[in-house]
Amino acid sequence: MKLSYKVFLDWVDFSGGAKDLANVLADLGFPNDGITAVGGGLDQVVVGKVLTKTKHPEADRLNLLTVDIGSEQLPIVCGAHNMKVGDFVALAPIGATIPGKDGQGMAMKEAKIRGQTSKGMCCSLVELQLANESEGILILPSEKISDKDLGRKVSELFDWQDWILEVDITPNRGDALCVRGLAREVAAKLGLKMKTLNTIKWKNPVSTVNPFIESFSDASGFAACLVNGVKFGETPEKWQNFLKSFGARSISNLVDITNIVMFELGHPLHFFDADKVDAQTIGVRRARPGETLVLLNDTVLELHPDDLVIADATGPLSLAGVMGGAKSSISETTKNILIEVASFNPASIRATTRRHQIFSESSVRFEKGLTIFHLDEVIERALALLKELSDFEIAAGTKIVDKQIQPKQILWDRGRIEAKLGKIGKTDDELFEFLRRLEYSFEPKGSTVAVNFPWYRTDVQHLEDVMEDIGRLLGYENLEKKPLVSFESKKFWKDLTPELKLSDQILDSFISFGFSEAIHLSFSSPALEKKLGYEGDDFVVVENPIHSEKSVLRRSILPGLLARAKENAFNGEDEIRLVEVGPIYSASGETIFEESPKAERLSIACVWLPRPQDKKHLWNPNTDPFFIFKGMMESIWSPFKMRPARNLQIPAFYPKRILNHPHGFAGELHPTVLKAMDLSGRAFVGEWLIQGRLADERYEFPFIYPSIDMDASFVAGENLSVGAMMECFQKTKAPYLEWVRPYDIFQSEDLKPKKKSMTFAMRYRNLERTLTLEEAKNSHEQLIASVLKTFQPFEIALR
Amino acid sequence: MAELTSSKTIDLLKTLSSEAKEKISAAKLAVDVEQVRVSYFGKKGFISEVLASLKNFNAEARKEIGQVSNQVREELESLLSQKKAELETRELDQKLLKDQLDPTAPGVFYPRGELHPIRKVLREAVQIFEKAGLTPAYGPEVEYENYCFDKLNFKPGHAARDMQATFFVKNQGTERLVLRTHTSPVQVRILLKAAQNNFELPIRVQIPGRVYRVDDDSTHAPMFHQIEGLAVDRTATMGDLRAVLDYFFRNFFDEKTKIRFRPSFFPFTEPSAEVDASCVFCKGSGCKVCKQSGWLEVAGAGLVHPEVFDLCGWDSKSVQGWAFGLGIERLAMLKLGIPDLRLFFENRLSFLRAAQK
Ligand SMILES: [Zn+2]
Repeated sequence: MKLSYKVFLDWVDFSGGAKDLANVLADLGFPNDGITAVGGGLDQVVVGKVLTKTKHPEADRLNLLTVDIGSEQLPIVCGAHNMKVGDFVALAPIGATIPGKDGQGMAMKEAKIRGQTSKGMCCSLVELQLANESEGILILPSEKISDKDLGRKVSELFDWQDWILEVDITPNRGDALCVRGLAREVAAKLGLKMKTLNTIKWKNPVSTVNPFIESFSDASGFAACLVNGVKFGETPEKWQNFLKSFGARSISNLVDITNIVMFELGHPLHFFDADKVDAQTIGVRRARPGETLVLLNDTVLELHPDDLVIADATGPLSLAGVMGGAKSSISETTKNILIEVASFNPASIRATTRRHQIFSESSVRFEKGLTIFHLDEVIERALALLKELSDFEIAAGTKIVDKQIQPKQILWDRGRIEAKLGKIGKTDDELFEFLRRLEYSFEPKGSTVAVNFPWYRTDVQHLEDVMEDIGRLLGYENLEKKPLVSFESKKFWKDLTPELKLSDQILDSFISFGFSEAIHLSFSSPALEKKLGYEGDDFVVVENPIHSEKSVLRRSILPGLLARAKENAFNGEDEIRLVEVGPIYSASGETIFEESPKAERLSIACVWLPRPQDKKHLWNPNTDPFFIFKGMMESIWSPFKMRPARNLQIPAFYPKRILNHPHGFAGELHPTVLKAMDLSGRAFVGEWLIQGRLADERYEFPFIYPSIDMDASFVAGENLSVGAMMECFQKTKAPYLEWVRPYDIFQSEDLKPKKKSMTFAMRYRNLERTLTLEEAKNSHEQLIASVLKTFQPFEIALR
Repeated sequence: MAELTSSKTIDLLKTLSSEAKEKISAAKLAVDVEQVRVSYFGKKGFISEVLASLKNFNAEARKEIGQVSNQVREELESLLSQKKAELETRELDQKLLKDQLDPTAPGVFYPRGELHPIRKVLREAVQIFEKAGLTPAYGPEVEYENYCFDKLNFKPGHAARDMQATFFVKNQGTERLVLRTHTSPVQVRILLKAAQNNFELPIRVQIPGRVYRVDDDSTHAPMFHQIEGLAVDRTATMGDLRAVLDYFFRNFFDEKTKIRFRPSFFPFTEPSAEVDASCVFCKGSGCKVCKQSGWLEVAGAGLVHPEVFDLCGWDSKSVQGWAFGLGIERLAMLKLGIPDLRLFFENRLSFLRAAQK
């Protein structure tokens, strides 16, 4: 809410500046989003009088002025034309600094403009921060100044200087969206006096006005007051400026009064042209099916049966609490008015504004909730303003309120208050005195005291609400501070810490292999997911996505990660290694949480796009990237024992270049997937589910007995794979075999065509004692015999 | 006679010794040094020959000459091996320098990997809160609207719901689902679970995780990370809450960091507070980042609202607790000097790898 510092001073005798006021409000729970200075340069400019005005000899669009500032007569070059000889102007002399057009500050220096000396500047409203736009320079109103004022600071003669605070009001404080609300808070905290307002009583109830409320759950109070003999006209400047400081503009004296009261007291009210409504049948009800309403801004609204309207026997007159109707609105011919002040169900107003996308100063206040107490006061203040700005003869009407609604009351419980706020160094009476300033009241009740909440608060009912007000008035910083204490928490929920510790370790392992961690939004699109094979109706679908590309939650990390790898490549990055760990979502299936509405699982994925220019392996080992990837994956995953994953969609891989892991997949992507993703080169990817937990680590004694190394070379048909050989070695279970490693594989002209040579190194060791050569040889022969027998079809032989 | 002869021989040894010294110092190559050794100490070497003639002297002379010759030999041997080692080292260096390897060519490229800045900050924050005794707890991101709002005392149709623009999730069932707008529904889950477990106390947890809001501009992302804190027991006060946050921010930023509480409003806490930390950039003296205030808004906090206890099956008169929530992205921007929120989710490698330590 915009709050004028100057307006505020009319309400409370506050001695600090605008920034001090902002700080006090922030300490009360009303922080501010900035302070705008109005007329920031007024104490820098002086009153000047234009003595001569001629055209600049070199430039038609410039004027040469002589301006009298009392002590001297200054030559001024001016780009504006709206002044005439004899006008009073706001002159910034040499040495002055005014805000300037951009508000960044502008220092006056003597200047030569096309050969003519200028010793200052005639300022415009914009340059003095008095308006956002203006034409020509500011001509000071001559009725308020005379020649004896020449040279005086403009700020001494005109009180235009002000500061507008942009105050944040939390959704629970609809009552604080007005000067009185904020003034009351500041006055209470600092112990200052508040101004009392002029009011005029109205006659009530009367039989001539007979309002109704269809349902107290929609509206808890409704007051209607007929006022005869009002005069339509203009609003005086003082009140126009008041409205301007709240960001509102003046329309007519009658309409302006409704806004003035709203900004003063926080309660919106509406004036109907009384000759266009029926005071005997007016009231608040829900709209009937098919009803329409032409609003003040001439839009035709098709009303919803849940909308609240003010209506009489002829039909809807206004959209309750939101906007008036065109038919019954105030006009130049208005002679009599009907004042409507009500309290509506905030949820209903909020639903209506959302439904029709119509928001107003009134709806903003009603949807935060406004009390039914003091409806009379709103009318009384409006009548006083009518007397001041218009006129009237008789004011009489009727008010109905839901009598069930009473001010909230609670029992004082000092023990409980201190149990939550900490020790308070004030007596009960001192606290009561503080709270009375916020219009709390207290009365004895049994052995304790009953606390009546302030009439204007709609959101309070607990002792905790009183605690908050005590905290706000004393200052949160003055509450008791305590040392850090810690107790072990009870745990009765499924603990995911072991899973997350595991995922942290796996992630760190990827990082050590040069993968950088990406974190993406959880959103994806079915089109993108489909490129990696995720289709069907198992998506978690967002009802109101920001963007069609964010319409579902990802079922896999890979599509988004691969798309990002591509963007990185497009941005000129190379050797792209990305890893991401996080949740994946599906409509059904396994989930890691208890009582989880949809399935959420933890996954980790990686993408590697090798340096494209490294085809010649200039700086990398002379190894195909597939084997570098395979080696990295083996090294990363070897320490972790993972639970097998079910229902894992596997994307299309380059034939045979796939690494099968029980808990996921990895390999080189199929060229068609690359094409679909608009990628060139080669891409290696993997995705794994993180299921299970970190196993307890176990260490063993290191080897102490020596090993015996042997090797064996074979020639076989070229179709025999190293993998098949390795598998056979493993299966043979030759005693003492510690490991087998292929160390030379080649095809050459020395061999017969379609043959290849494979050499393996073997290490044998006995863990309990020294292995004899005899034992090693026996085992080695067993191993060789097994391979020769198994791969007979490949015409395998020892070399 | 014997003396005269022995002195002659001694003179001869001394002459040979100084000759040899000159040759050693003049040697240019290790092989030259070896030659000098052979020519003096070899089988036919000068000094060897002199010593061979020793048998012609009497015992006393032999002893005298022997002493001198030992001295000469020790001295020369030491000079020889010293010179040889010196020359060999120099020759090896010269040989190595002639090697064809161009050491200015680049090394094999091992790319650096970096954790995401959000991860770094998240891990650090979780660790600090663990030290303060808060156990991590987690919950689903696709959440019941009831847990995300109603049970946290967001009344249906209340303007407070506008504080958190919400993504809704399509659902066949009757329950309305949302993408959680904050980590607070995990509070609800824990309170409900505890109510089924005889209201055992204390509860002291931290809840890190992803949250979602319908918002997408330069300072808001539709998804971000939060850490929530929750303590429930019979004595938790505003002072205890303050102590935990004070401990956190001193450890997270630096020991001199101060915090302050300002009144605020959240539907699920009462009293509620906005928490400021002294500006990490200007140390509280005022700068552009803190809008000259010296303070930065870093968390929301408060005492658990009695309605929340009641809605989760507790008796709000007999229990109390505090809660807080903080945004990881904001903390990461402050701590790591990250200039723009959008950088977090663009995941450009040039950004991810840019960390200077
Ligand atoms: Zn600062």
